[in-house]
Amino acid sequence: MSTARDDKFFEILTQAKGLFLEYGLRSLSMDDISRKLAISKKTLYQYVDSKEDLISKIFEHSQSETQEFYDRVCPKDLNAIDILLEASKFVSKEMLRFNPVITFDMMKYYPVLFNNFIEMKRDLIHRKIKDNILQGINEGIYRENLNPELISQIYVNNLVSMHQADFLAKSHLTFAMVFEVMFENHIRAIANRQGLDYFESKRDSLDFQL
Amino acid sequence: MEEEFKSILERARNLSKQVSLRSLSVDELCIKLGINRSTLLKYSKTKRDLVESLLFYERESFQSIFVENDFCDTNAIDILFIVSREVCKRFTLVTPSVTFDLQKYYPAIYRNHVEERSQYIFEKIKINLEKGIRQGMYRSDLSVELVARLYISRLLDLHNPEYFPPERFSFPMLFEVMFENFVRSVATPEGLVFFENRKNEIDFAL
Repeated sequence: MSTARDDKFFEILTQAKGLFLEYGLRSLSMDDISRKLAISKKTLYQYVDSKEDLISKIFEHSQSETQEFYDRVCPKDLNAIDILLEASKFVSKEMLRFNPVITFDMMKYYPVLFNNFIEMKRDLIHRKIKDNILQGINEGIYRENLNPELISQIYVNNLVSMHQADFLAKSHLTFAMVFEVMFENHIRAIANRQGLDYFESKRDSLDFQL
Repeated sequence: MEEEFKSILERARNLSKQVSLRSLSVDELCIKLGINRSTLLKYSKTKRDLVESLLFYERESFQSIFVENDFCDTNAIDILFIVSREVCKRFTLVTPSVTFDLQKYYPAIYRNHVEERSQYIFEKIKINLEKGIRQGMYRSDLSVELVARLYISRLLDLHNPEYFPPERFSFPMLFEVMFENFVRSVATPEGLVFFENRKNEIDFAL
């Protein structure tokens, strides 16, 4: 159920998230945020209690957006590879805006919040990838002898590595580059011949915009 | 390295699989290794020294795979098969329980070991990728640096019991899945055919 109040709140969360990504967590005060969003501080405090609460709400919002994405995509008549492709587009849009500095700030200034968020996110991705593997096996496009539990854990670990600052720093790579390679290698690793042909036919039309 | 010391290290390796080296006194250790104290002292002043030598020996043993085999004209995928088979045969210190023990009690030594081993494997994987691309076994659009780095990250994760509880995933099984996923993710269609044929021929015996 979406009310006018919710819509306004989502708007605030979306914009505040953009500001944090641009300016970092530390330097942005609640004053700055209300000024940039062109709302009064009083209005801002109607929705959140503190900067920490705002960040926590942004996380919750991002989590529910991810869930909504799956609710929207899954009922469509898509095969497992299509769903992965859709998901990768969704994720890469997020990735473009993310950088290791934000991760670093989060770990340093809001460790508990951050750990909870990462935990939830890992959990969700783990489950979705597992479902996806089962679907792909059923559809005859993934190898039959895959261990869904193990493969989804490996996938999640890949994502975790990407966010470790030193991984990128050592190699002069961007998030987006790593994600694209990781994602493609994931599909190649699990697809059978049919799945691989299907992926390759789709790959050209796939514009990561990275 | 002297043969006598190698033989002591071999025995210490096997011992470390059964019991935590940390929990043994030097005297107990000597009894278990079947040597007297002065023999041990000839090579290792302390238990710490012994652990350090143990890990050094482990790395050397890994590197000897590349010395003993002339991989010059070998197909890149075959090289991976050979190395994987050797790793599963030779390596005793890679089991998670031993890893955990070393990590906990000898963190600095262990960190250094992991760092050096990773660097060595990283270079070897890069060479393997370049070779496979030249041979048409691997995709030519691969980012060698990035793929090698991802591979190292996954190798390191194998030893994290939080990610892969040993009671649910055995090390050989993890290793085999990692290995197969790696080849599949980098192979060309020709490489894939080659891999699948080889896989049927060779009994991985893991």
